[in-house]
Amino acid sequence: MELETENPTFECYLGNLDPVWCPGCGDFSVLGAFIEAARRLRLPNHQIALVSGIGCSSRFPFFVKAYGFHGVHGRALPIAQGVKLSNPELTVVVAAGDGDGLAIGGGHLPHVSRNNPDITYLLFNNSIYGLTKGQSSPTSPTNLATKTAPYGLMGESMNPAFLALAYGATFVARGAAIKREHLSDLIEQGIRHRGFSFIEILTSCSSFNTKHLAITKVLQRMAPLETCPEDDLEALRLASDTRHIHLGVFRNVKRPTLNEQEEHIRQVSQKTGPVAVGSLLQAFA
Amino acid sequence: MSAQQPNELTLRIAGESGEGIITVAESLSRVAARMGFHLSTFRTFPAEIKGGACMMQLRLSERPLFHPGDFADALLAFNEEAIRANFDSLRDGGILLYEADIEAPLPRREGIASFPVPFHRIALQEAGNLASKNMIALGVLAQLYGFPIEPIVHLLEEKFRRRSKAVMENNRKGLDAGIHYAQQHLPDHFSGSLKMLPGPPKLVMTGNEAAALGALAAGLDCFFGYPITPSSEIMEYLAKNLPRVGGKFLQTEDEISAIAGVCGAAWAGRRAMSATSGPGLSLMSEILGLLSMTELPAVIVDSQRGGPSTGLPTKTEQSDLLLAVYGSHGDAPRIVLAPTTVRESLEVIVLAFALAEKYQMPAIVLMDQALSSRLETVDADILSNLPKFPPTEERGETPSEYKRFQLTETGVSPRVFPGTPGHEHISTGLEHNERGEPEYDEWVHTIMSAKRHKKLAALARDPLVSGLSSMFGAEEAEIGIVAWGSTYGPVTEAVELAIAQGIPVKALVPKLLHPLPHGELKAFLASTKKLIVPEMNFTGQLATLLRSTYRIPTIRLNRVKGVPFRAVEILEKIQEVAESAGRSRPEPELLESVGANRGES
Repeated sequence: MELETENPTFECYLGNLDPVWCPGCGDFSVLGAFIEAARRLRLPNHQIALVSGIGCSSRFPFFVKAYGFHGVHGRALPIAQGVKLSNPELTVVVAAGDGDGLAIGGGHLPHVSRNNPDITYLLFNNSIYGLTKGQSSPTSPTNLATKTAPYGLMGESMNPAFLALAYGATFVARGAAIKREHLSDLIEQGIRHRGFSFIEILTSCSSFNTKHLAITKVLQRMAPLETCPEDDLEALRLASDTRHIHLGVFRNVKRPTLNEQEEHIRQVSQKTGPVAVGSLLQAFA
Repeated sequence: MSAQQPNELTLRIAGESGEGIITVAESLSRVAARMGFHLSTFRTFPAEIKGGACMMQLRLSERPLFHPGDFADALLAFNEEAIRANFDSLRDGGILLYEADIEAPLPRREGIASFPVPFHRIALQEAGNLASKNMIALGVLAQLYGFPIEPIVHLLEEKFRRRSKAVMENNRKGLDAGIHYAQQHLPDHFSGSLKMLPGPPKLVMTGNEAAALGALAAGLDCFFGYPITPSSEIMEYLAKNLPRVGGKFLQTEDEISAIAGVCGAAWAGRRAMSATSGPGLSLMSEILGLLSMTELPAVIVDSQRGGPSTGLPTKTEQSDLLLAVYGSHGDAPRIVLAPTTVRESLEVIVLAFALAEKYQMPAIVLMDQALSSRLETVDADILSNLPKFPPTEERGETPSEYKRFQLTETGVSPRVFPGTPGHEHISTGLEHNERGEPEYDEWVHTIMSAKRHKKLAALARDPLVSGLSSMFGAEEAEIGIVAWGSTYGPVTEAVELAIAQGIPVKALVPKLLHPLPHGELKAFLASTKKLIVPEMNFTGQLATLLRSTYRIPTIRLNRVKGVPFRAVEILEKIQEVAESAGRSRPEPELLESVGANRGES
C-alpha cells in the first residue's frame, strides 16, 4: 500500500457529512475506532471502499473520506464481494447492523465466509432495529419487549461471532463500542488479515434499546481474551459463553482468499497461455 | 431431396432422453453447416434428469433460416410415445421411420409413408450393444438424405476422441449397419445427395453460446450467476472460457447475491453481467432498482421460460417483458433488448454492454428457451463489425468540484471509479444530490428522477440503436405485424407465405424494447390500418406496451404452448384479419382473446 501522507491525521479520514446518529449512540465510537485503525495502517483514502446496506450503522460510509457504496438492505456483503473480486487493489470494509447482516442478509454470511474474500466485515450489534425505531432483531434477547414483540419475542437470540466461527470465517473477533482502543486494534488486525475478517461489535442504541445494553451491566460481564484460542472447539465454547462476554480474537487462520483462488483457476484454465476470444470460434466449426 | 421447399430438409428425431437423439441431430446439423448449409433447430427437454420424452428437429436450407420449420419431412421415432407426440408435425408426403419392435397400432394419415426399422435388433446383432441404436439411426438418415459419410465419421471421431477406442469402433459399426440397412430395405427416392455449397463453411452454435461469446467479445471482466434452466449454458460456457481470456467467474448462493456481485464489480469500474431466467429476474428486481438509482451499468440476460412461479422450466415463453421493463419499485429506468436470432444473441449482448456503460444503467437482454437452446448456423465473421464502445471513465472536473451525479444535457454524469485519488465520493440508493449526498426534498427527487429518465431519451436518439429494428414485407400493406424476440423467425415465414397468397402484409420487429424505438414504430404504425401482435404469452405484453404508448388498437395473437409459433398459426391470423377487412372495429378485447386461447376462435 502506498502512503498518501507520511503521518495521516484523524481528520484526513473524516468525510464531508456529519454523522446523523443520535447523541449517545455507540456507532460514533466505532467510527472513531475505524478511523484510528485506518490512520495507523496509513490507508490512502482513495483505496478504501466502504460498502454498507440499510440501517443506522449502514450510514457509516457517509462519514468517512473514502469511496462509499450505500446499497439496499441485507446485500452489503455480496456487493462488497463483487468489489473485491473485481478490484483486489481496494481495501474493502463492510458496515452492517444485526438486522441487515443476520436477518435479511443472513443467507450471504456462510457463503462469503466460505469464499474468503479479503474483506473486513464490521457487524454492529445493538440487538434492535434502530433506524425503523425499535423492532426486534435476530440478536434481541427473548426477554426484550419491543414494538414488534410487545409480549416477548419468539425465537432464540443469535450469536454472531459463534455463527461466523461455525461458517468458517478465517478471522473472527468480538469487540465493543465502549472499548474503543481495543476495538480499533481488532479492526486493524482485521484489515491486515488476508481473508474474510468478521468483527462483531457490541454497540448500544441510546434511543430504542437502553435496557438490554445498559452499559454498566454489560461492562461487568465483559472479559478480554488473553490469546486467540488454538482450536475451534475452544473458540466456539468461548464465543457462546453466556456468563461472560468474551472480547478479542477467536480465530485467525490462513486460507486462500477469493482472489487467490480466482487467480489459481485462471492459471489452470490458461495452461497454454491466455486465449483470444476469436480462437474460441473453432469449437463451433 | 423431397421437401416442402426446394433445397430444404426438415428432420425430427424423437425418443427417450438418454437414447442419444441429440447426438444424431447435432451430428447431422454440424455436417450440414460444414457443407455450407444454413440451419435452424428446435429441441425439447424433459424436466427430468434421466428418461422423459426428448425431441430435436433440424431444418437445413440453402437460404438463411431463423425458424426450425413448422412441419418435418421425416420423423424418426424410437418409441410409441415419440410417434404419438410428434406424428402431427409430419408434413403431407412426409415419412415416418420407427422402431420395428413397437407392437401397438400406429397413427395413420393419408400421404404419410411409414417404415419400420429394427434399430434395436440391428444394434444388438451388428454393433453388439444397445447404445449404438442412435448411430444406426444416424446411418439410416445419412443414407436416406444423401449426407456424405466421411464428414460424419470425422465429426464423431472429434466428439468421442476422449473415450476409448472401442466406443468409436462401436459407433462406426452402428453407422455402417444403418447405412447398409437403408440401402437394402428403404426406398432410395428421397436421396439426391446433398452437395457442398459454395462459400465458406458456417459455424453452428446455440443462442446461449452466442450470448456467452458476445459477452466475451464485449470484454466481460466478471460474471456472477446462479444456475437456472434454460440459461445455465451461458454460465457454464463462461465458467470454462472466461478465465481463459482473463476474466473472473463466481457462482453465487442465489440470484440476489449474483446481481449484488455485478453491482459491486460495476461500481468498482469493471464490466459485469449475470444470466438467469424469470424466477431469477424476479429476485434481482430490487438491486435492478439500486443500479438505476446509483447509475451503474450491468447486463442481465433473462432466458425466458413458461411462468409464473416454476411454471414450465424447460419450455419457451415470452412472458417476462413487463417484468424486464418495469420490474422494480419506484421509477427505475433500464434498457431492455431482445435478440431475434442466434447471431443477434451475440450482437445484442455486445450492444447491451455498450449502451449500459454509455447511459449508466442496467440492460436486460430477453432471450427465451427456444432461442437459447436452438442450434443455428452463423457466419464465421460473427465477431467482426460489433458495436464500438464509448470510453467508460470520465474524470470530469477537478477533484474538488467533482460531482458523480452532475446534471448534464443528456443526464449522463462523469463516472469515476474507486481507487482514483482525490475523487472520493459516495453512491447511495437513497435519493441524493449531484454530489451523491442524501437529500430528499421534493425538488431534488423531481430533478434527479428527470435526470435519470433523460438518459433514456438520449439513448433513443443514439446512432447505436438507429435502424436496429427489422422491417420486412410489402411496404404498402395495411396489415402490419409487430413482434419481438424469437417470434421473428415464424413471422418472417408467415409474411412470405401471406404475400405468396396475395395478402399484402408487413412486419416490424424491434430489438430495443425499452425505450421503444418511437421513430421507427410511429412511422410503421401510421402506415398500418390493422396491427397484429403475436407473442408467446397469455396477456399480450408487447401489445399492452404498444396500446398504452401509442394509443392504438391491437389484434393480439397469444400462445402459451411452451413451443415456438408455427408460421401457419400467424398466417391464419393474417388471413382472418384480411378477410375481416370490411369490419370497422376489428380489435378483439381481452375476452375474445381468451376465447382464442381456449381454441374457440
